[in-house]
Amino acid sequence: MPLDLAVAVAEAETTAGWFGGGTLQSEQVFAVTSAQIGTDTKYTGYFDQLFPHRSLDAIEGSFREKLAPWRKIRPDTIESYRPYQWFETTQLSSELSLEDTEMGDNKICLCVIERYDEGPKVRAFLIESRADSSRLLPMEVIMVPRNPDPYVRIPAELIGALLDKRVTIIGAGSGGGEVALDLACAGVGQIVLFDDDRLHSENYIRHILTKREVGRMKIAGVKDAIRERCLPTKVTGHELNIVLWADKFRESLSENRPELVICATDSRDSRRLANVCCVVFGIPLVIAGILDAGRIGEILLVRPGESACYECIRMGLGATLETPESGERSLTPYAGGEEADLQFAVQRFDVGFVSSIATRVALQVLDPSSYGRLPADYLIWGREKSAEYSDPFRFEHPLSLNYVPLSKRDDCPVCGLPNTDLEGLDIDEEFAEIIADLGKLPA
Amino acid sequence: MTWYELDHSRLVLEYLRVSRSYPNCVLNRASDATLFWTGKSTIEVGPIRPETMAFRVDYPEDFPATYPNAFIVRPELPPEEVGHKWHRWPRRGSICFVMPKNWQIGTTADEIILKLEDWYFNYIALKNGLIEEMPEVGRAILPGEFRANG
Repeated sequence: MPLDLAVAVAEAETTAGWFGGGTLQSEQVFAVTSAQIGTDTKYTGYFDQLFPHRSLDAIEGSFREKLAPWRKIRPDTIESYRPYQWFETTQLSSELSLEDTEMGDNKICLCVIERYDEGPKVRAFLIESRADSSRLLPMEVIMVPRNPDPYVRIPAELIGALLDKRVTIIGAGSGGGEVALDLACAGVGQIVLFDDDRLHSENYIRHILTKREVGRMKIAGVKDAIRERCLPTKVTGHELNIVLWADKFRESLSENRPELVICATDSRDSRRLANVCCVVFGIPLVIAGILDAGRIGEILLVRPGESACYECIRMGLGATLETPESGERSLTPYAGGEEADLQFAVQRFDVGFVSSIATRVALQVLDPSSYGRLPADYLIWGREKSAEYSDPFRFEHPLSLNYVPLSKRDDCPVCGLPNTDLEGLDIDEEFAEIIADLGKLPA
Repeated sequence: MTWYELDHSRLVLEYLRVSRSYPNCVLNRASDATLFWTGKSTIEVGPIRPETMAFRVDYPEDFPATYPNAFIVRPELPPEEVGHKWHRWPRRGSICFVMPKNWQIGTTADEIILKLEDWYFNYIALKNGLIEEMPEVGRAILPGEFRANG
Protein backbone atom coordinates (compact mmCIF):
# COMPACT_ATOMS: atom_id res chain seq x y z
CA MET A 1 0.00 0.00 0.00
CA PRO A 2 1.69 3.21 -1.16
CA LEU A 3 1.45 5.82 1.54
CA ASP A 4 0.50 8.62 -0.87
CA LEU A 5 -2.72 6.85 -1.89
CA ALA A 6 -3.61 6.06 1.71
CA VAL A 7 -3.25 9.76 2.58
CA ALA A 8 -5.32 10.79 -0.46
CA VAL A 9 -8.12 8.44 0.45
CA ALA A 10 -8.08 9.44 4.13
CA GLU A 11 -8.31 13.13 3.23
CA ALA A 12 -11.02 12.74 0.58
CA GLU A 13 -14.64 13.79 1.13
CA THR A 14 -15.95 10.55 -0.24
CA THR A 15 -16.07 7.50 2.01
CA ALA A 16 -16.00 4.61 -0.43
CA GLY A 17 -14.26 3.62 -3.62
CA TRP A 18 -11.95 1.13 -5.27
CA PHE A 19 -8.24 0.46 -5.21
CA GLY A 20 -6.68 -0.66 -8.45
CA GLY A 21 -3.54 -2.73 -8.61
CA GLY A 22 -2.24 -6.12 -9.44
CA THR A 23 -1.84 -9.49 -7.90
CA LEU A 24 1.21 -11.61 -8.28
CA GLN A 25 -0.31 -15.02 -8.00
CA SER A 26 2.77 -16.83 -6.77
CA GLU A 27 3.19 -14.41 -3.86
CA GLN A 28 -0.47 -13.86 -2.90
CA VAL A 29 0.16 -10.17 -2.89
CA PHE A 30 -2.02 -7.33 -4.10
CA ALA A 31 0.06 -4.27 -4.92
CA VAL A 32 -2.08 -1.10 -4.91
CA THR A 33 -1.19 1.33 -7.66
CA SER A 34 -4.28 3.56 -7.98
CA ALA A 35 -7.30 4.73 -6.03
CA GLN A 36 -10.69 5.61 -7.39
CA ILE A 37 -11.89 8.58 -5.34
CA GLY A 38 -15.23 9.90 -6.49
CA THR A 39 -14.98 10.34 -10.22
CA ASP A 40 -11.18 10.69 -10.19
CA THR A 41 -8.54 8.01 -10.34
CA LYS A 42 -5.31 8.87 -8.57
CA TYR A 43 -2.14 6.93 -9.35
CA THR A 44 0.66 6.43 -6.87
CA GLY A 45 3.87 8.39 -7.25
CA TYR A 46 5.76 5.53 -5.64
CA PHE A 47 5.38 3.14 -8.53
CA ASP A 48 9.12 2.48 -8.65
CA GLN A 49 9.06 1.42 -5.00
CA LEU A 50 6.37 -1.16 -5.73
CA PHE A 51 7.36 -2.73 -8.99
CA PRO A 52 11.06 -2.85 -9.73
CA HIS A 53 11.15 -6.62 -9.49
CA ARG A 54 7.59 -7.34 -10.60
CA SER A 55 7.47 -5.63 -13.94
CA LEU A 56 8.81 -8.70 -15.71
CA ASP A 57 6.17 -10.84 -14.03
CA ALA A 58 3.63 -8.47 -15.50
CA ILE A 59 5.12 -9.01 -18.93
CA GLU A 60 5.23 -12.76 -18.42
CA GLY A 61 1.54 -12.73 -17.51
CA SER A 62 1.56 -13.88 -13.91
CA PHE A 63 0.67 -10.40 -12.71
CA ARG A 64 -3.06 -9.69 -12.98
CA GLU A 65 -4.93 -6.47 -12.68
CA LYS A 66 -7.37 -6.42 -9.82
CA LEU A 67 -9.72 -4.11 -7.93
CA ALA A 68 -10.42 -4.08 -4.22
CA PRO A 69 -13.04 -1.89 -2.49
CA TRP A 70 -11.96 0.62 0.12
CA ARG A 71 -14.10 2.17 2.86
CA LYS A 72 -13.27 5.09 5.08
CA ILE A 73 -14.58 4.45 8.58
CA ARG A 74 -14.58 6.23 11.90
CA PRO A 75 -11.47 5.54 13.95
CA ASP A 76 -11.73 2.50 16.21
CA THR A 77 -14.98 1.28 14.56
CA ILE A 78 -13.35 -1.89 13.40
CA GLU A 79 -12.05 -2.66 16.90
CA SER A 80 -15.53 -3.82 17.90
CA TYR A 81 -15.34 -6.65 15.39
CA ARG A 82 -12.93 -9.25 16.66
CA PRO A 83 -11.15 -11.11 13.91
CA TYR A 84 -12.39 -14.60 13.09
CA GLN A 85 -15.54 -14.11 15.17
CA TRP A 86 -18.90 -14.46 13.39
CA PHE A 87 -21.30 -11.47 13.24
CA GLU A 88 -24.62 -10.79 11.58
CA THR A 89 -24.01 -9.94 7.95
CA THR A 90 -26.49 -7.05 7.94
CA GLN A 91 -24.75 -5.44 10.91
CA LEU A 92 -21.29 -5.77 9.40
CA SER A 93 -22.35 -4.66 5.94
CA SER A 94 -24.10 -1.63 7.38
CA GLU A 95 -21.04 -0.63 9.38
CA LEU A 96 -18.77 -1.04 6.39
CA SER A 97 -21.21 0.44 3.84
CA LEU A 98 -21.27 -2.77 1.84
CA GLU A 99 -24.25 -4.13 -0.03
CA ASP A 100 -25.43 -7.51 1.21
CA THR A 101 -25.14 -8.69 -2.36
CA GLU A 102 -21.47 -7.69 -2.37
CA MET A 103 -20.91 -9.94 0.61
CA GLY A 104 -22.43 -12.91 -1.21
CA ASP A 105 -21.14 -16.38 -0.50
CA ASN A 106 -17.61 -15.60 -1.57
CA LYS A 107 -14.72 -14.08 0.28
CA ILE A 108 -14.11 -10.47 -0.68
CA CYS A 109 -11.11 -8.33 0.06
CA LEU A 110 -11.80 -4.99 1.72
CA CYS A 111 -9.50 -2.16 2.70
CA VAL A 112 -10.55 0.09 5.54
CA ILE A 113 -8.95 3.45 6.11
CA GLU A 114 -9.07 5.24 9.42
CA ARG A 115 -7.94 8.82 9.67
CA TYR A 116 -5.83 9.74 12.67
CA ASP A 117 -3.93 12.96 13.40
CA GLU A 118 -0.62 11.13 12.94
CA GLY A 119 -1.70 9.84 9.55
CA PRO A 120 -3.96 7.27 7.92
CA LYS A 121 -4.17 3.71 9.16
CA VAL A 122 -4.93 1.11 6.54
CA ARG A 123 -6.15 -2.37 7.33
CA ALA A 124 -7.29 -5.10 5.00
CA PHE A 125 -9.60 -8.02 5.57
CA LEU A 126 -11.03 -10.94 3.77
CA ILE A 127 -14.74 -10.97 4.57
CA GLU A 128 -16.08 -14.46 4.69
CA SER A 129 -19.88 -14.86 4.60
CA ARG A 130 -21.94 -17.91 5.43
CA ALA A 131 -25.80 -17.81 5.54
CA ASP A 132 -26.55 -14.66 7.55
CA SER A 133 -23.19 -14.50 9.25
CA SER A 134 -19.92 -12.91 8.24
CA ARG A 135 -16.48 -12.58 9.79
CA LEU A 136 -13.29 -10.62 9.21
CA LEU A 137 -10.08 -12.46 8.37
CA PRO A 138 -7.21 -9.96 8.84
CA MET A 139 -4.61 -9.56 6.10
CA GLU A 140 -1.16 -8.08 6.40
CA VAL A 141 -0.79 -4.54 5.06
CA ILE A 142 2.67 -3.28 4.27
CA MET A 143 2.85 0.48 3.89
CA VAL A 144 5.29 1.72 1.26
CA PRO A 145 6.65 5.20 1.95
CA ARG A 146 8.36 7.31 -0.68
CA ASN A 147 11.74 7.21 1.06
CA PRO A 148 11.88 4.42 3.59
CA ASP A 149 14.66 4.66 6.17
CA PRO A 150 16.71 1.50 5.66
CA TYR A 151 18.72 2.12 8.81
CA VAL A 152 15.85 1.96 11.31
CA ARG A 153 17.40 -1.07 12.98
CA ILE A 154 21.04 0.03 12.84
CA PRO A 155 22.47 2.25 15.60
CA ALA A 156 22.73 5.79 14.29
CA GLU A 157 26.29 6.25 15.52
CA LEU A 158 27.49 3.34 13.38
CA ILE A 159 25.96 4.86 10.27
CA GLY A 160 26.98 8.42 11.09
CA ALA A 161 30.66 7.53 11.31
CA LEU A 162 30.66 6.14 7.78
CA LEU A 163 28.49 8.59 5.84
CA ASP A 164 31.42 10.80 4.85
CA LYS A 165 33.71 7.91 3.91
CA ARG A 166 34.80 7.20 0.36
CA VAL A 167 35.75 3.73 -0.84
CA THR A 168 37.02 2.64 -4.25
CA ILE A 169 36.27 -0.96 -5.16
CA ILE A 170 38.06 -2.70 -8.01
CA GLY A 171 35.97 -5.53 -9.37
CA ALA A 172 32.17 -5.75 -9.21
CA GLY A 173 32.01 -9.52 -9.50
CA SER A 174 30.65 -11.92 -6.93
CA GLY A 175 33.12 -10.73 -4.28
CA GLY A 176 33.33 -7.03 -5.13
CA GLY A 177 29.57 -6.72 -5.62
CA GLU A 178 28.91 -8.31 -2.25
CA VAL A 179 31.44 -6.07 -0.51
CA ALA A 180 29.99 -2.96 -2.20
CA LEU A 181 26.49 -3.85 -1.03
CA ASP A 182 27.72 -4.72 2.48
CA LEU A 183 29.56 -1.42 2.81
CA ALA A 184 26.60 0.56 1.51
CA CYS A 185 24.34 -1.20 4.00
CA ALA A 186 26.85 -0.40 6.73
CA GLY A 187 26.52 3.28 5.84
CA VAL A 188 29.51 4.14 3.64
CA GLY A 189 28.69 7.42 1.89
CA GLN A 190 30.53 7.13 -1.41
CA ILE A 191 31.61 4.14 -3.46
CA VAL A 192 33.54 4.26 -6.72
CA LEU A 193 33.44 1.01 -8.70
CA PHE A 194 35.82 -0.15 -11.41
CA ASP A 195 34.85 -3.11 -13.59
CA ASP A 196 34.59 -3.62 -17.34
CA ASP A 197 32.65 -6.87 -17.29
CA ARG A 198 29.04 -7.73 -18.06
CA LEU A 199 26.94 -10.24 -16.15
CA HIS A 200 26.97 -13.60 -17.90
CA SER A 201 24.49 -16.37 -17.28
CA GLU A 202 27.15 -18.41 -15.47
CA ASN A 203 27.85 -15.50 -13.09
CA TYR A 204 24.61 -15.08 -11.20
CA ILE A 205 24.95 -18.31 -9.28
CA ARG A 206 27.46 -16.45 -7.09
CA HIS A 207 26.58 -12.81 -7.73
CA ILE A 208 24.23 -10.44 -5.89
CA LEU A 209 22.57 -9.87 -9.28
CA THR A 210 20.09 -12.26 -10.86
CA LYS A 211 19.22 -13.58 -14.29
CA ARG A 212 17.26 -10.41 -14.93
CA GLU A 213 20.53 -8.49 -15.09
CA VAL A 214 22.25 -10.85 -17.54
CA GLY A 215 23.92 -8.76 -20.20
CA ARG A 216 24.14 -5.62 -18.08
CA MET A 217 27.40 -4.08 -16.95
CA LYS A 218 28.03 -5.47 -13.48
CA ILE A 219 28.68 -2.03 -12.01
CA ALA A 220 25.30 -0.80 -13.31
CA GLY A 221 23.60 -3.77 -11.68
CA VAL A 222 25.43 -3.31 -8.38
CA LYS A 223 24.58 0.38 -8.46
CA ASP A 224 20.89 -0.51 -8.86
CA ALA A 225 21.08 -3.14 -6.13
CA ILE A 226 22.25 -0.43 -3.75
CA ARG A 227 19.72 2.12 -5.01
CA GLU A 228 16.85 -0.33 -4.68
CA ARG A 229 17.60 -0.61 -0.98
CA CYS A 230 17.10 3.17 -0.70
CA LEU A 231 20.60 3.53 0.70
CA PRO A 232 22.06 7.02 0.74
CA THR A 233 25.35 5.79 -0.73
CA LYS A 234 26.47 7.69 -3.80
CA VAL A 235 27.81 5.15 -6.28
CA THR A 236 29.98 6.08 -9.25
CA GLY A 237 30.92 3.50 -11.83
CA HIS A 238 33.88 3.34 -14.21
CA GLU A 239 33.44 0.69 -16.88
CA LEU A 240 37.17 0.17 -17.08
CA ASN A 241 39.76 -2.50 -16.43
CA ILE A 242 42.31 -0.70 -14.25
CA VAL A 243 45.21 -2.59 -15.82
CA LEU A 244 44.29 -1.42 -19.31
CA TRP A 245 43.33 2.06 -18.10
CA ALA A 246 45.87 2.54 -15.34
CA ASP A 247 46.12 6.29 -15.97
CA LYS A 248 42.37 6.70 -15.38
CA PHE A 249 42.62 4.64 -12.21
CA ARG A 250 45.42 6.81 -10.83
CA GLU A 251 43.47 9.94 -11.77
CA SER A 252 40.45 8.65 -9.91
CA LEU A 253 42.49 8.00 -6.77
CA SER A 254 44.14 11.39 -7.07
CA GLU A 255 40.83 13.24 -7.45
CA ASN A 256 38.67 11.29 -5.02
CA ARG A 257 41.28 10.50 -2.38
CA PRO A 258 39.29 7.58 -0.97
CA GLU A 259 39.87 6.51 2.61
CA LEU A 260 40.17 2.92 1.38
CA VAL A 261 40.63 0.92 -1.81
CA ILE A 262 39.37 -2.65 -2.05
CA CYS A 263 40.69 -4.92 -4.77
CA ALA A 264 38.31 -7.83 -5.28
CA THR A 265 39.52 -9.11 -8.62
CA ASP A 266 40.98 -12.47 -9.54
CA SER A 267 43.79 -10.85 -11.46
CA ARG A 268 47.36 -10.71 -10.19
CA ASP A 269 48.16 -7.69 -12.35
CA SER A 270 45.30 -5.60 -11.00
CA ARG A 271 46.31 -6.48 -7.42
CA ARG A 272 49.88 -5.47 -8.10
CA LEU A 273 48.80 -2.22 -9.74
CA ALA A 274 46.39 -1.37 -6.93
CA ASN A 275 49.13 -2.16 -4.43
CA VAL A 276 51.71 0.08 -6.10
CA CYS A 277 49.27 2.97 -6.49
CA CYS A 278 47.91 2.74 -2.95
CA VAL A 279 51.35 2.57 -1.37
CA VAL A 280 52.50 5.67 -3.28
CA PHE A 281 49.25 7.56 -2.57
CA GLY A 282 49.28 6.40 1.06
CA ILE A 283 45.78 4.92 0.81
CA PRO A 284 44.97 1.73 2.78
CA LEU A 285 44.16 -1.22 0.54
CA VAL A 286 42.24 -4.43 1.15
CA ILE A 287 42.96 -7.28 -1.27
CA ALA A 288 40.49 -10.16 -1.13
CA GLY A 289 40.51 -13.29 -3.22
CA ILE A 290 39.70 -16.96 -3.43
CA LEU A 291 42.27 -19.70 -3.88
CA ASP A 292 42.24 -23.42 -4.40
CA ALA A 293 38.78 -23.71 -5.95
CA GLY A 294 37.02 -21.97 -3.10
CA ARG A 295 38.65 -23.89 -0.27
CA ILE A 296 40.86 -20.99 0.77
CA GLY A 297 40.25 -17.28 1.04
CA GLU A 298 42.92 -14.63 1.34
CA ILE A 299 42.36 -11.16 2.75
CA LEU A 300 45.22 -8.70 3.07
CA LEU A 301 45.07 -5.23 4.55
CA VAL A 302 47.89 -2.99 3.38
CA ARG A 303 48.52 0.02 5.60
CA PRO A 304 51.04 2.04 3.58
CA GLY A 305 54.18 2.80 5.53
CA GLU A 306 53.02 0.63 8.40
CA SER A 307 52.33 -2.96 7.36
CA ALA A 308 53.39 -5.45 4.71
CA CYS A 309 52.17 -4.73 1.18
CA TYR A 310 51.07 -7.25 -1.48
CA GLU A 311 54.59 -7.33 -2.90
CA CYS A 312 56.01 -8.10 0.57
CA ILE A 313 53.65 -11.08 0.74
CA ARG A 314 54.75 -12.30 -2.68
CA MET A 315 58.39 -11.96 -1.68
CA GLY A 316 57.72 -13.62 1.68
CA LEU A 317 56.15 -16.64 0.06
CA GLY A 318 59.07 -16.67 -2.36
CA ALA A 319 59.50 -19.15 -5.16
CA THR A 320 56.66 -21.33 -3.92
CA LEU A 321 54.20 -18.63 -4.85
CA GLU A 322 53.86 -19.66 -8.46
CA THR A 323 53.37 -22.93 -10.28
CA PRO A 324 56.39 -25.20 -9.85
CA GLU A 325 57.86 -25.75 -13.32
CA SER A 326 58.66 -29.37 -12.53
CA GLY A 327 55.10 -30.24 -11.59
CA GLU A 328 56.16 -31.09 -8.03
CA ARG A 329 53.63 -30.57 -5.27
CA SER A 330 53.23 -26.90 -4.49
CA LEU A 331 53.61 -25.62 -0.95
CA THR A 332 50.99 -22.92 -1.48
CA PRO A 333 47.52 -22.90 -3.03
CA TYR A 334 48.71 -20.55 -5.77
CA ALA A 335 49.62 -23.49 -8.00
CA GLY A 336 46.67 -23.08 -10.34
CA GLY A 337 47.34 -19.39 -10.76
CA GLU A 338 45.24 -16.72 -9.10
CA GLU A 339 43.20 -15.90 -12.19
CA ALA A 340 42.05 -19.47 -12.67
CA ASP A 341 41.00 -20.13 -9.10
CA LEU A 342 37.84 -18.11 -8.86
CA GLN A 343 36.44 -19.71 -11.98
CA PHE A 344 36.22 -22.98 -10.09
CA ALA A 345 35.10 -21.63 -6.73
CA VAL A 346 32.25 -24.01 -6.36
CA GLN A 347 29.89 -22.30 -3.97
CA ARG A 348 28.44 -18.88 -3.45
CA PHE A 349 29.00 -19.15 0.29
CA ASP A 350 32.77 -19.53 -0.22
CA VAL A 351 32.79 -16.11 -1.80
CA GLY A 352 30.35 -14.90 0.85
CA PHE A 353 32.65 -15.86 3.72
CA VAL A 354 35.61 -14.11 2.13
CA SER A 355 33.69 -10.98 1.16
CA SER A 356 32.21 -10.74 4.65
CA ILE A 357 35.66 -10.93 6.20
CA ALA A 358 36.90 -8.36 3.70
CA THR A 359 34.04 -6.05 4.66
CA ARG A 360 34.87 -6.42 8.33
CA VAL A 361 38.54 -5.66 7.60
CA ALA A 362 37.48 -2.62 5.60
CA LEU A 363 35.26 -1.34 8.40
CA GLN A 364 38.11 -1.42 10.90
CA VAL A 365 39.93 1.02 8.64
CA LEU A 366 36.92 3.26 8.04
CA ASP A 367 35.66 3.36 11.62
CA PRO A 368 38.32 2.01 13.98
CA SER A 369 36.52 3.11 17.13
CA SER A 370 33.45 0.99 16.35
CA TYR A 371 35.15 -1.89 14.58
CA GLY A 372 38.21 -2.87 16.59
CA ARG A 373 41.51 -3.77 15.04
CA LEU A 374 41.95 -7.43 14.14
CA PRO A 375 44.97 -9.36 15.46
CA ALA A 376 46.78 -9.27 12.09
CA ASP A 377 46.49 -7.67 8.68
CA TYR A 378 46.89 -10.89 6.66
CA LEU A 379 44.01 -13.32 7.09
CA ILE A 380 43.72 -16.75 5.54
CA TRP A 381 40.36 -18.48 5.70
CA GLY A 382 39.96 -22.22 5.19
CA ARG A 383 36.73 -23.96 4.34
CA GLU A 384 38.08 -27.42 5.19
CA LYS A 385 40.47 -28.95 7.66
CA SER A 386 43.64 -29.28 5.62
CA ALA A 387 47.34 -30.00 5.91
CA GLU A 388 47.82 -30.06 2.17
CA TYR A 389 49.94 -26.92 2.03
CA SER A 390 52.54 -25.31 4.23
CA ASP A 391 51.74 -22.52 6.70
CA PRO A 392 49.84 -20.24 6.66
CA PHE A 393 47.61 -22.37 4.42
CA ARG A 394 47.10 -25.20 6.95
CA PHE A 395 43.82 -25.41 8.86
CA GLU A 396 43.23 -27.42 12.00
CA HIS A 397 39.46 -27.08 11.74
CA PRO A 398 36.93 -26.37 9.01
CA LEU A 399 36.07 -22.68 8.72
CA SER A 400 39.33 -21.66 10.38
CA LEU A 401 40.71 -18.17 10.14
CA ASN A 402 44.49 -17.89 10.37
CA TYR A 403 45.76 -14.49 11.47
CA VAL A 404 49.20 -14.20 9.91
CA PRO A 405 51.56 -11.63 11.40
CA LEU A 406 53.71 -10.16 8.66
CA SER A 407 56.17 -7.33 8.72
CA LYS A 408 56.96 -4.81 6.07
CA ARG A 409 60.13 -5.78 4.18
CA ASP A 410 62.99 -3.32 3.88
CA ASP A 411 63.92 -4.86 0.52
CA CYS A 412 60.44 -4.58 -0.94
CA PRO A 413 60.63 -2.60 -4.21
CA VAL A 414 57.22 -1.08 -3.51
CA CYS A 415 57.14 -0.19 0.18
CA GLY A 416 60.69 -0.91 1.39
CA LEU A 417 63.55 1.44 2.12
CA PRO A 418 64.47 3.96 -0.60
CA ASN A 419 66.83 2.54 -3.20
CA THR A 420 70.47 3.26 -2.34
CA ASP A 421 71.03 4.53 -5.90
CA LEU A 422 68.82 7.48 -5.04
CA GLU A 423 70.60 8.48 -1.83
CA GLY A 424 71.44 12.16 -1.69
CA LEU A 425 69.41 13.07 -4.75
CA ASP A 426 66.74 15.74 -4.86
CA ILE A 427 64.13 13.53 -6.54
CA ASP A 428 61.82 16.28 -7.74
CA GLU A 429 64.71 18.26 -9.18
CA GLU A 430 66.08 15.19 -10.95
CA PHE A 431 62.61 14.35 -12.22
CA ALA A 432 62.13 17.83 -13.67
CA GLU A 433 65.47 17.58 -15.48
CA ILE A 434 64.60 14.19 -16.95
CA ILE A 435 61.27 15.46 -18.25
CA ALA A 436 62.95 18.54 -19.70
CA ASP A 437 65.56 16.38 -21.44
CA LEU A 438 63.21 13.79 -22.95
CA GLY A 439 64.32 12.83 -26.44
CA LYS A 440 67.91 13.89 -25.77
CA LEU A 441 71.00 11.87 -24.89
CA PRO A 442 71.67 11.93 -21.14
CA ALA A 443 74.02 14.72 -20.10
CA MET B 1 47.93 10.42 -14.40
CA THR B 2 50.91 8.42 -15.65
CA TRP B 3 53.03 6.10 -13.54
CA TYR B 4 55.95 8.50 -13.61
CA GLU B 5 53.83 11.47 -12.58
CA LEU B 6 52.70 9.47 -9.58
CA ASP B 7 56.09 8.03 -8.65
CA HIS B 8 58.93 10.42 -9.51
CA SER B 9 61.44 8.24 -7.65
CA ARG B 10 60.86 5.30 -9.93
CA LEU B 11 61.50 7.31 -13.07
CA VAL B 12 64.65 8.82 -11.58
CA LEU B 13 65.86 5.32 -10.69
CA GLU B 14 65.12 3.99 -14.18
CA TYR B 15 66.88 6.93 -15.80
CA LEU B 16 69.87 6.78 -13.50
CA ARG B 17 70.47 3.08 -14.05
CA VAL B 18 69.97 3.07 -17.82
CA SER B 19 72.11 6.15 -18.42
CA ARG B 20 74.83 4.66 -16.22
CA SER B 21 74.93 1.30 -18.04
CA TYR B 22 73.88 2.47 -21.51
CA PRO B 23 74.85 6.12 -21.91
CA ASN B 24 73.79 6.14 -25.55
CA CYS B 25 70.18 5.34 -24.77
CA VAL B 26 67.56 8.04 -25.09
CA LEU B 27 64.35 8.29 -23.13
CA ASN B 28 61.43 9.47 -25.28
CA ARG B 29 57.81 10.36 -24.73
CA ALA B 30 55.15 9.26 -27.21
CA SER B 31 52.12 11.38 -28.09
CA ASP B 32 50.02 9.35 -25.63
CA ALA B 33 52.46 10.28 -22.84
CA THR B 34 53.95 6.81 -22.56
CA LEU B 35 57.73 6.67 -22.20
CA PHE B 36 60.16 4.47 -24.14
CA TRP B 37 63.88 3.98 -24.42
CA THR B 38 65.69 3.76 -27.74
CA GLY B 39 69.27 2.70 -28.16
CA LYS B 40 71.82 0.64 -30.04
CA SER B 41 74.12 -2.15 -29.01
CA THR B 42 76.91 -4.01 -30.72
CA ILE B 43 77.79 -7.54 -29.68
CA GLU B 44 80.01 -10.34 -30.86
CA VAL B 45 78.84 -13.91 -31.09
CA GLY B 46 81.98 -16.00 -31.20
CA PRO B 47 83.54 -15.22 -34.54
CA ILE B 48 80.43 -13.44 -35.81
CA ARG B 49 80.00 -9.68 -35.71
CA PRO B 50 76.33 -9.13 -36.45
CA GLU B 51 74.70 -5.91 -37.49
CA THR B 52 74.40 -3.38 -34.69
CA MET B 53 71.13 -3.95 -32.86
CA ALA B 54 68.74 -1.03 -32.50
CA PHE B 55 66.17 -1.58 -29.81
CA ARG B 56 63.25 -0.02 -28.06
CA VAL B 57 61.85 -0.58 -24.56
CA ASP B 58 58.28 0.63 -23.95
CA TYR B 59 56.89 1.24 -20.49
CA PRO B 60 53.28 0.06 -20.26
CA GLU B 61 50.58 2.26 -18.78
CA ASP B 62 50.33 0.01 -15.72
CA PHE B 63 54.09 -0.04 -15.06
CA PRO B 64 55.62 -1.21 -12.77
CA ALA B 65 52.79 -3.67 -12.05
CA THR B 66 53.52 -5.26 -15.42
CA TYR B 67 56.70 -5.51 -17.44
CA PRO B 68 57.94 -3.23 -20.25
CA ASN B 69 57.82 -4.45 -23.82
CA ALA B 70 61.21 -4.87 -25.47
CA PHE B 71 61.65 -4.85 -29.25
CA ILE B 72 64.51 -5.27 -31.71
CA VAL B 73 63.99 -2.46 -34.20
CA ARG B 74 66.97 -3.29 -36.42
CA PRO B 75 67.86 -5.62 -38.02
CA GLU B 76 64.31 -6.23 -39.10
CA LEU B 77 63.25 -9.64 -37.82
CA PRO B 78 61.17 -11.97 -40.00
CA PRO B 79 57.57 -11.69 -38.76
CA GLU B 80 57.19 -15.46 -38.83
CA GLU B 81 59.95 -15.90 -36.26
CA VAL B 82 57.67 -15.68 -33.25
CA GLY B 83 56.51 -18.13 -30.61
CA HIS B 84 58.34 -20.18 -28.03
CA LYS B 85 61.20 -21.26 -30.30
CA TRP B 86 62.15 -17.65 -30.95
CA HIS B 87 61.18 -16.31 -27.55
CA ARG B 88 59.07 -13.60 -29.13
CA TRP B 89 55.43 -12.83 -28.37
CA PRO B 90 53.31 -13.75 -31.38
CA ARG B 91 51.23 -10.63 -31.84
CA ARG B 92 53.47 -7.72 -30.99
CA GLY B 93 56.79 -9.36 -31.77
CA SER B 94 58.28 -8.14 -28.50
CA ILE B 95 60.99 -10.20 -26.88
CA CYS B 96 59.87 -12.70 -24.25
CA PHE B 97 62.32 -12.08 -21.45
CA VAL B 98 60.13 -12.98 -18.49
CA MET B 99 57.03 -15.03 -17.82
CA PRO B 100 54.38 -12.44 -16.90
CA LYS B 101 53.70 -14.05 -13.53
CA ASN B 102 57.41 -13.98 -12.69
CA TRP B 103 57.85 -10.27 -13.39
CA GLN B 104 59.68 -8.62 -10.50
CA ILE B 105 58.50 -5.11 -9.83
CA GLY B 106 61.99 -4.00 -8.83
CA THR B 107 63.46 -4.82 -12.26
CA THR B 108 64.62 -1.69 -14.08
CA ALA B 109 65.06 -1.00 -17.79
CA ASP B 110 68.84 -1.48 -17.76
CA GLU B 111 68.29 -5.12 -16.80
CA ILE B 112 65.80 -5.49 -19.64
CA ILE B 113 68.27 -4.03 -22.15
CA LEU B 114 70.78 -6.60 -20.92
CA LYS B 115 68.20 -9.30 -21.61
CA LEU B 116 67.68 -7.83 -25.08
CA GLU B 117 71.41 -8.19 -25.73
CA ASP B 118 71.27 -11.77 -24.47
CA TRP B 119 68.34 -12.47 -26.75
CA TYR B 120 70.16 -11.03 -29.75
CA PHE B 121 73.24 -13.06 -28.93
CA ASN B 122 71.19 -16.25 -28.77
CA TYR B 123 69.28 -15.37 -31.92
CA ILE B 124 72.43 -14.82 -33.96
CA ALA B 125 73.94 -18.00 -32.54
CA LEU B 126 70.86 -19.97 -33.53
CA LYS B 127 70.61 -18.44 -36.99
CA ASN B 128 74.23 -19.28 -37.63
CA GLY B 129 73.98 -22.82 -36.39
CA LEU B 130 76.15 -22.32 -33.33
CA ILE B 131 73.40 -23.59 -31.01
CA GLU B 132 70.37 -25.78 -31.56
CA GLU B 133 67.90 -23.82 -29.49
CA MET B 134 67.68 -20.55 -27.63
CA PRO B 135 68.06 -20.98 -23.85
CA GLU B 136 65.21 -19.93 -21.52
CA VAL B 137 67.38 -17.41 -19.71
CA GLY B 138 70.81 -15.84 -20.12
CA ARG B 139 73.26 -16.31 -22.96
CA ALA B 140 73.77 -19.60 -24.67
CA ILE B 141 77.05 -21.35 -24.07
CA LEU B 142 78.70 -21.65 -27.43
CA PRO B 143 80.60 -24.76 -28.48
CA GLY B 144 84.24 -24.66 -27.34
CA GLU B 145 85.77 -23.52 -30.62
CA PHE B 146 83.57 -20.39 -30.65
CA ARG B 147 83.68 -19.58 -26.98
CA ALA B 148 86.68 -17.24 -26.77
CA ASN B 149 84.85 -14.19 -28.07
CA GLY B 150 81.44 -15.16 -26.83
